[in-house]
Amino acid sequence: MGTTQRNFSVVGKGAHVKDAREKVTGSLKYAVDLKVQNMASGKILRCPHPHAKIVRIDTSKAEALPGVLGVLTHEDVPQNDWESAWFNYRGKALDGTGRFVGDDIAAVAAQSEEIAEHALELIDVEYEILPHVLDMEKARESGAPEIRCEGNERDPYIVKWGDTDEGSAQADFTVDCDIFYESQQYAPLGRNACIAEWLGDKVTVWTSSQTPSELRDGVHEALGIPLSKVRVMAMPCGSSFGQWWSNNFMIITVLLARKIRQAVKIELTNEECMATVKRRHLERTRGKMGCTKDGQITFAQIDHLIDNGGYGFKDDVGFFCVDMWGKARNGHYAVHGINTNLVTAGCMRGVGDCTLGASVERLADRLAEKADMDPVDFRIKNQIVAGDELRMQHSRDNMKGNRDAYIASIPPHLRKDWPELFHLSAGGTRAILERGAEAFRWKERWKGWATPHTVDGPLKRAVGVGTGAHVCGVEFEGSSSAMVRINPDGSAKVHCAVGRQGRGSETTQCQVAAEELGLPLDMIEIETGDTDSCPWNHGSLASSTMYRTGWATRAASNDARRQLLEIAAREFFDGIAPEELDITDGEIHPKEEPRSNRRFTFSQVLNELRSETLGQTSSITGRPAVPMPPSTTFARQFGAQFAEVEVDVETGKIKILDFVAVQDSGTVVNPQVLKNQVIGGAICGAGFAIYEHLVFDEETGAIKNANLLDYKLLRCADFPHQAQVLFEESPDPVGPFGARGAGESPIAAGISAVSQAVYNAIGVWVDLPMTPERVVRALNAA
Amino acid sequence: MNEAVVDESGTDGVMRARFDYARPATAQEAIKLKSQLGEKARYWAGGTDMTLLWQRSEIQFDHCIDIRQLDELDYISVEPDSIRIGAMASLSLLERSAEAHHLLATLSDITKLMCTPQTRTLATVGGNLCNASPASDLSPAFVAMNAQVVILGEDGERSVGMFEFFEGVNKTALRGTELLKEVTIPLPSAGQIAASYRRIDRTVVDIALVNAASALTVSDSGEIKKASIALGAVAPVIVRSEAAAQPLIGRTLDELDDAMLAAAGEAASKDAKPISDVRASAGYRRDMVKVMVRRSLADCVEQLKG
Repeated sequence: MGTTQRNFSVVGKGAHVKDAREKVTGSLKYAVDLKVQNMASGKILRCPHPHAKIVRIDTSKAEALPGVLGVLTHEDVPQNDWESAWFNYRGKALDGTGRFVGDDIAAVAAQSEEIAEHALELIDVEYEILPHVLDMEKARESGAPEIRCEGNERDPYIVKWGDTDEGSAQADFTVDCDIFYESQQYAPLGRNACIAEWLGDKVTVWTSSQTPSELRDGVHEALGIPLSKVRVMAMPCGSSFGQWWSNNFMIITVLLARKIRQAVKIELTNEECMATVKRRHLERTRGKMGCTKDGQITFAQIDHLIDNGGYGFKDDVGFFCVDMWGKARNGHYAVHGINTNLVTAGCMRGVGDCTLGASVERLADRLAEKADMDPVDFRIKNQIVAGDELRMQHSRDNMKGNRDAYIASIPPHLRKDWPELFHLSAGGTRAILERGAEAFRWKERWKGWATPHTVDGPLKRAVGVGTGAHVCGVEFEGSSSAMVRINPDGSAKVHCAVGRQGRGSETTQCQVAAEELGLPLDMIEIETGDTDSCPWNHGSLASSTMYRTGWATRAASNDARRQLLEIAAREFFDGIAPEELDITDGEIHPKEEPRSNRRFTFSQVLNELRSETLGQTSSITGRPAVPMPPSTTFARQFGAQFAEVEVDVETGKIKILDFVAVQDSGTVVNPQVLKNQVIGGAICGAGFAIYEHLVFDEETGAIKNANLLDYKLLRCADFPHQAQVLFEESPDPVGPFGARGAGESPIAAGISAVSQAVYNAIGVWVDLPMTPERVVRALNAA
Repeated sequence: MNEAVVDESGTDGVMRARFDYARPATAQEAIKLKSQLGEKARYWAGGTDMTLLWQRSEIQFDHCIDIRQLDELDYISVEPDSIRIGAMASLSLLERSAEAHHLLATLSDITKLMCTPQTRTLATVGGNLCNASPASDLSPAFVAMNAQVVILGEDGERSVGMFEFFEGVNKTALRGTELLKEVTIPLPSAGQIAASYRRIDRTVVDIALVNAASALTVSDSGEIKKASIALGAVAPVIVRSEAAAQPLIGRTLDELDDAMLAAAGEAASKDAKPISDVRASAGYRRDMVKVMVRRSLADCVEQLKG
């Protein structure tokens, strides 16, 4: 499917999101709003210790409490490991060991939430306290307390090219770093709940999730029952940013309902949402980078640690920033995933590119200063553009061997139309940096490294620039599919299990289908949550929804369109070739005669079949005929952002005064939706840069700020209202109508832009988050 | 007395309680009710702090005495010798009163820092003071302005200094059935008064990590007659720093140079007894007292010099 067409009728238009009215009137139902008949209330007993094994658990007193319907313990639970998408969770639903304060230990079902809460207090647990370790550096030492039977540390994920010793020898300037990143919380606006109801040996699960198919897979793995017996009905989850994929409390709900033979709902409190589910990793980068006098990076050597908490199992956080700075002549990046006795860590928006990426940006900035180069110019010189080789190309379990073996394993007929693998297919940072620099008046406002443009008493103002990249979905766990059904009345429905996390894809997927089918947008609706009606889909993660699901939606629409035109050609156009027909505004007509009177609606065509006795179907179902190319090997999204900050050097307070965000996500399918994505990412990144972090108890690892009073999110008024979002639409050769992914590069770019601007204002690099206190401390230390 | 039940057990709401509800028509009736119903009866003003305590099960009550409709306590008036703010005046009313007097303008600016516009329509001045949070934004300003509170009881009214009103975290001088009636800010009979409030916060919606308020009264010739400096979030109650304020008295505005203001900040920080918590360390709070006091005094000087 080519991308030369630019005169779209639906794509590129700022259609209002389909559920806007429901959202602003509060009528949209989230999982917490849902009830089913005869539904019991469930509550989870949580581990009070960072690491402890159950020696004895006595539930008799709890079970005797009037109104209690049953108690689930590890003794009831099949001892199967289940996995959430991207190794965000690996473990058993309950296994008799608590691996962090707040870990799931048992669950109670009762007639009311109060009774269930009361019953939790009556469960008598005798724990054997196990030694625990909160620090990831200590957790990887030999003799450290064993948190998991697989060991505390995953095999390192390594990307290397060239020879870093040689690169080091060529360098005129070298800088190094040792940066620690605190943990960001998804901090969703809403809470989550899960309802499970069994009918015989089949279960239906209602919960707010971005990954309905992965949750269905998780229930299948945890319980050892066929996938066909699990139906997930994913509800909208509002902002999620990676938190609500498939989470252990959902599996516990399913098991609890099975045990009491009754529907049950577990609804998490705000504190449970913030302290017991997931968070961004704590991370640490130690690295070195060098460049020549004229600013060519000669090598990058990075060793990066991520803490997975109790149940995360990730071994990488992002090779995308590595790709972005891929013009470095030599490179060696190693990422180590390590478990600790802290709450599970998982993928949050911009995983890796917000941390590892920020470290690489910081090293690059410091080199640029040594080489006396403008940071915009330094980026343009060292960052990737379309056609360049990607660095993510080495042996990986889920990629079938090394790069050459992988390419050779793909049947030639499949890859003949694909872009060149392991090369960037479109876009890059040059265009967005140039566009942003102009819009921001960078050349006027940039006064040199560590030089504020204005000093007003204790207030220092300066500008900064940052860049971010991310993948556009991944194919490692399966190819995301979609189905499009054209109904007998000519309306259509898209079925794609991407969940609803507030990023507008209910609307944008319909726009893709409408464009391909030639139907008006309001004739198309979408189902995003029901795994019984939707084919397998990775869900909305890794910025995949527009790119990989959008591709599938377009391919499915194209297949449906082909079938429809075949029938129309045969039944209404005297058997001409279907390719000679076209569709405009829901009417089929000869391509060469767009104004012809010979026009037939979808419903005329489909009802023509219905009246026959040939037993042909009266609706059409379209699906992709081939898998989407493995886009991890060629597609990236890019963001470049420019910030002006004011730092009060006496109090340490940072104010963001001005902001320009430029995004290259290929064709913009819906400018309003994409603008929201980009600005939301920028605010979230700026928040991570200056305030957001979880505070862990030094002794136990318990989270001390699991509330929005002391977990500080930037509000709209903390961000400049005149912030601009601009698009550079370098069309993608594969994505739907040239579109790519969007959600994650904007958060990464914002972090680096704000950090650099603060450095330029005060002349000191401050570790993230740059809270007022840390800024003052850094200034005092300097 | 009406009866109402809020009982949304389970999944929909976070409120789970059963209590009797009363809506007295006058303040005296409210006090009488409280005296009849005793300990387990609570006055309900804006309810913005009470709701949180109630959600967290930190308070329980059998009887809610709703005083929201007591218009007799809902006023802000400027008299020749004082500004009187009724306990039931909402924060949004205070916010909208900036035009009436320059001290009210200072208070109006403070309310803009408090919670959110929506919450400010519910929250009341009296409720904010009775909650007695050491991080309250209004309390240090009232203390610096030498405000008094008027307390209504079964046997009539009594007056207490704003500083004396706070006895601890969430503890006030109110006893038994007593109800806060009014905050009275005295106005100087001669000369001019100016006040300013400064705080350290994180985002636009936050409570103060540390705050300070100053008030200066000067004679027509520019001599400082009264000086008062109050600190918040650095002790269980609002701290009044005499050591910082005293050296300013008798000076002229022109004599208050940077060094003198800085010295006041230094002196005030010695009176602060901050703790370290998830919001900030004690050291940072102590350092910021210096900056907040210096800046709030500089604001006053600037206002007075016009």
